[in-house]
Amino acid sequence: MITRLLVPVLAGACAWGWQSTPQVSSQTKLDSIIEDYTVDGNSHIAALLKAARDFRLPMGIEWQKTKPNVSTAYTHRWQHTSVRSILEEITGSQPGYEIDVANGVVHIRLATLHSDQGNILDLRVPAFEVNNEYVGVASRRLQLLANRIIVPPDPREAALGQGGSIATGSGDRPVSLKMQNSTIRDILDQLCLAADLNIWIVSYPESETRSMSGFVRTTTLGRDLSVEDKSQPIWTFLEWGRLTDQ
Amino acid sequence: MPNLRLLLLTLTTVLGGAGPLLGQCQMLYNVSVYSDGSWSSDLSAVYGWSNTVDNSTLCWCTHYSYQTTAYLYDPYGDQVSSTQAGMESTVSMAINGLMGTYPVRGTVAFYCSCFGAAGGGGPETPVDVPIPTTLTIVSGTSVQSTESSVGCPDGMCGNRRSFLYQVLDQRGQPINASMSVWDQVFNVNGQNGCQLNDLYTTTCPTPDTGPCGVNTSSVGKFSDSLSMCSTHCYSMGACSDDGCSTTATQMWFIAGHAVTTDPKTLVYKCQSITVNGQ
Repeated sequence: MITRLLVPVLAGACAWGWQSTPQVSSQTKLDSIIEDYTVDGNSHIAALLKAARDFRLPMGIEWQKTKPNVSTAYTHRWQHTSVRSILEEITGSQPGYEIDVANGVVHIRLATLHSDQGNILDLRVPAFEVNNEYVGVASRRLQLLANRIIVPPDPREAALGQGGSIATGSGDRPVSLKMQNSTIRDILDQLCLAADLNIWIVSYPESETRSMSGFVRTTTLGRDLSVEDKSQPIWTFLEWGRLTDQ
Repeated sequence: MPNLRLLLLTLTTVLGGAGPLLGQCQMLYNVSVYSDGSWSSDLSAVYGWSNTVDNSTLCWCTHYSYQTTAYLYDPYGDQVSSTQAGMESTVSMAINGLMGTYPVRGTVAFYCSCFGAAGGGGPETPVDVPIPTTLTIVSGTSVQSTESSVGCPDGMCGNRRSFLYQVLDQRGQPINASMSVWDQVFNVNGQNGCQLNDLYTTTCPTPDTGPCGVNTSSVGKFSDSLSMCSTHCYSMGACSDDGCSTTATQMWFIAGHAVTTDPKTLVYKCQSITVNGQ
């Protein structure tokens, strides 16, 4: 819980408006000095989600699941420390994670996937356009687009029709954006900034597996399910404050 | 969502065994245990608590070492309890989609310097966790898109419809909670004239599993976007309608509970999508 904050610094950040200049605002927030802050997370990811909520930081997380019997609980208190240092310490409390900031979003990345061509987040999409659609709907469309790349459709089985029903709720609203030659990560960042679903998470199973085309398979955020290639890849958008008890 | 019903247990006992002389102080037990409960704002957990108040007339005796226990039962009668030193105790249980009545009960144990161990308990206080019973389309929120804005793949046309659902409980009242929501769709291939056999998308990316991070608003509303694209709605380089129809059945899950009045029947056509005929 934030007990004392250097108010003038963050007040300035708010006045600049991070929606219009997200990178500046996130950087400013990261450089802010916090007088007293304690995080108490049941897990590594819960601690990250709590910090994102408390500092109002958009965050994209690559999360490698651990064995159920391995505790990653993290509790720590800081005094007169920058937000950046706090996040770096939380991130570094588990081996194999890195932190960087791009597009105005704090990225918690898996070092092992950093330059891996099988990382779906680095997949480049020629064009992606959203016209007054909910983020949840656009996100599912992006997943289907990525799936066609991971699992190229058999040209002998031409699709005749497609349909669906997609619920979107708290934190979501219709948005519009147009991106060209962008990575999945960049698009997720823009979707995350467009509405109030300020966190995206891609979960990887405890043991890595790859699709036939070499992409690292993802899994569901909750249960560690084996997800078929036809449902790959999976990511989740969350509002600040969700799943902080993970 | 506080359950405002409070239950008072009063254990009042005049202990003749104390042998007071006429006009002297008479020991009187007057111990109350209040029990109450509530559920979390996302309908994922139910809480119970018990609070002990000791207004006994003690005379020369003292009461000490209070231990208050709160018991919480699920609708099947399975129990969790928590005993805490002092006058209060709290207990919680995950709902996991099991809505209904969760009784809470409290007990207290303590020592009396005159009479030794003492204690008592009260009857149950019901905590009614609302049951997601009906999804109703909020009047005036249904929007039917034009063909050009649906964004169908080349060689297909179709339509999209979105609206707000409101979650109602067993009494037809809105459930004011931010609850997880996901859906399952069946029988897409049963009556499938529009051949929607490619990637029928549901709320969660993995079919038939949830939750996946989607929650209703704090007043139990969420948007559903229904869409279809088909080669049957396209001809000679333009959108058309050959009269195809695909019927699917849909089951919604709210806070892990299958909506009682589901399934719904979805009918997809080139220029319309209906839910239970609406």
